Amino acid sequence: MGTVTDILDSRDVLRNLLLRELKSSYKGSVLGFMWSLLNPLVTMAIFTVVFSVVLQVQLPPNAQGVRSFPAFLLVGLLPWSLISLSMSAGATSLVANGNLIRKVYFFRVTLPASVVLANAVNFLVGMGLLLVFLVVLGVDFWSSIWLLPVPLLALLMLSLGLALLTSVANLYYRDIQYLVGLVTMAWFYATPIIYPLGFVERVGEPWLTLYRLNPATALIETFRAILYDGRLPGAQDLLWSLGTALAVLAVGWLVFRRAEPHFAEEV
Amino acid sequence: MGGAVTVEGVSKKFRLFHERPRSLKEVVTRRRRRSFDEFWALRDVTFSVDPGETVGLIGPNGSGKSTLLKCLARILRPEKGRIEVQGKLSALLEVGAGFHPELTGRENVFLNGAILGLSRPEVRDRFDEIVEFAGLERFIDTPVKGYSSGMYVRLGFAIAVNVRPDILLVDEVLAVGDEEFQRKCMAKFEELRSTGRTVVLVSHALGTVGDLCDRAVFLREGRVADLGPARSVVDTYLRDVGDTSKREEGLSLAGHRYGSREVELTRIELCGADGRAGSPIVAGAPMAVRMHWRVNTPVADPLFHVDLFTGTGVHLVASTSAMGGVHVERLEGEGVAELRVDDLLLVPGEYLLSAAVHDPGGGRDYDHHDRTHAFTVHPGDPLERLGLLRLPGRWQLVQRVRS
Repeated sequence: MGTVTDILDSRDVLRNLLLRELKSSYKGSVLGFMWSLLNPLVTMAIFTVVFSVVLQVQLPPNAQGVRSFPAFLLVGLLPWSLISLSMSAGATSLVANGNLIRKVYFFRVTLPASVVLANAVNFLVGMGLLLVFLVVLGVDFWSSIWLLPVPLLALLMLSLGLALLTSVANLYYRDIQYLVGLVTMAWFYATPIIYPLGFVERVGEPWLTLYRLNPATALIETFRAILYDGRLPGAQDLLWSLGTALAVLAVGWLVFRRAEPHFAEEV
Repeated sequence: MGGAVTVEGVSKKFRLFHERPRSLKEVVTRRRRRSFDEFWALRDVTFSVDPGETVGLIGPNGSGKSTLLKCLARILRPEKGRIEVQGKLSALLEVGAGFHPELTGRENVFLNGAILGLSRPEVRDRFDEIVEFAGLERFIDTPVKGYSSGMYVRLGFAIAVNVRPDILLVDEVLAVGDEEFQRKCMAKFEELRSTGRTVVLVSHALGTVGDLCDRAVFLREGRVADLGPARSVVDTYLRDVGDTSKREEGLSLAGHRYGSREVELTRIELCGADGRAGSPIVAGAPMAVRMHWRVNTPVADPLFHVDLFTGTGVHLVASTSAMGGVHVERLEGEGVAELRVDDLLLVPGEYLLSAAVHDPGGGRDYDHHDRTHAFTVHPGDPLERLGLLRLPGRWQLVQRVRS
């Protein structure tokens, strides 16, 4: 009955739900799994053309003097995609499985968790390809990459926490699944993904403080420091991203577990 | 082997919302609290199931049987009371819940098995048995969206019975598939029982409950109305249903009426042992069906016709006035046609009746009340209560003892 045994008993459910997500999401499409890579690639191409070619945004070079807008963008875009996909796919994860929830008892956290993990698998494949791209560009991240697991963990916790929250909220109010699209769009532009944080520093206060409070800013800055600049991230960014992710996960977990007994009636 | 279940003072409340707001706009614009009625689906239910026991939950629709089963399965959480379950529990509330149409049968076996609580090696061990049981060897690697509904249900059931839990909760899913598959299911069910599993079963098939279960719980309006040995609880239930259906006499239940109305059946009465309309109908006692008719357009040689069905719609018997040797050249005016039965061979239970008047060939219905009348046969002198009919035979026993 305890939570710990629940989690341990649910490994197989989680694994199978994850496989279901991965196998079923691109069934019947010709490119299949490639779509998960195509999406960020096309987004990157569009932003590169708009911001680098048309608007002529000038990036400061990194520590090794490399200046590549696509690489700079992807380092932020890939983690961001995991956050936004977790929120949108998480929102529908319970509602779409109403049939299961009404008829079978199993550890319900596995539903949003499997959605997040399926997107995390796509994210990791994208990350692997990005690392190759960075090496080709001549970015030297070897002295900082050992720290990469820390922002990865924070990213996963933040994504799972947000998915838990949106999944429960959408059970009560189906508006959430549409609202999530608007919120993530606003959040995307409010996070330094297509522009460096340095641009905000030029704007000055109070904007900079607001940006610093955004957990996604700290997280993206950490990824960017480690992978694009090849330097150790600021301790403040590292701790803030980890701390906020942990807090979101804790809140998401508590809300989810509190609402769980009533799922079968609400779904 | 089997696990035990203890249910103590369990009450479950549902909220019946009046136009429940489902969007934020409604929440914002409607300042007052959401209006709802409370409805107690279960009230202070207490009973226990010992290891290895088979217990049936019976009661009319809406009496809380399925809610109770869902509470036991942890799908619903009761507001009050305590449910204690010892052992691994698996619920068969709906077969194939959670199948993903795009995945193959094989992938769905692993997914569904895991959801029902099997580990991966366990599913792998039982995989061949599951596929064989479902009879789907040729189709197991095709997506289930291409399955027929029968194949779908067979696969779902095959997975569920192979979970081999300590406690199995079953909600009337035994009635799936064709006859051969049903036989396999019953055999599997017997095997589970004989290996000492604990079973809690919800069913409307009172014969099954009386036959399979050690004990039964009779729920009425969310409360335990009776509890004890299965046979005696089934009898209590039948008597109780009889009492309530008497109050509802004349109320049309399922079924409908059709016909060209040259002749109309204006009233149909069911008469029990004492010959009065509406008196209790008792197994082994006399019974009569009285049809009041009125002719709109005179017809030649019409047939009056009575059919009896079980509560689940199995056609049991047909009887026509022609079979009884009753003929009339020309029917006009109005009157009564009556079918009398001296010794009712039906076993106690719920039945449906059709009454009709039609042309001599049976091709044209003048007025057909198709399964419009429900009635209860109460336990009488004969002891038979299994099967569909009592066999009016005489037993003889010859015994030779050599000294």
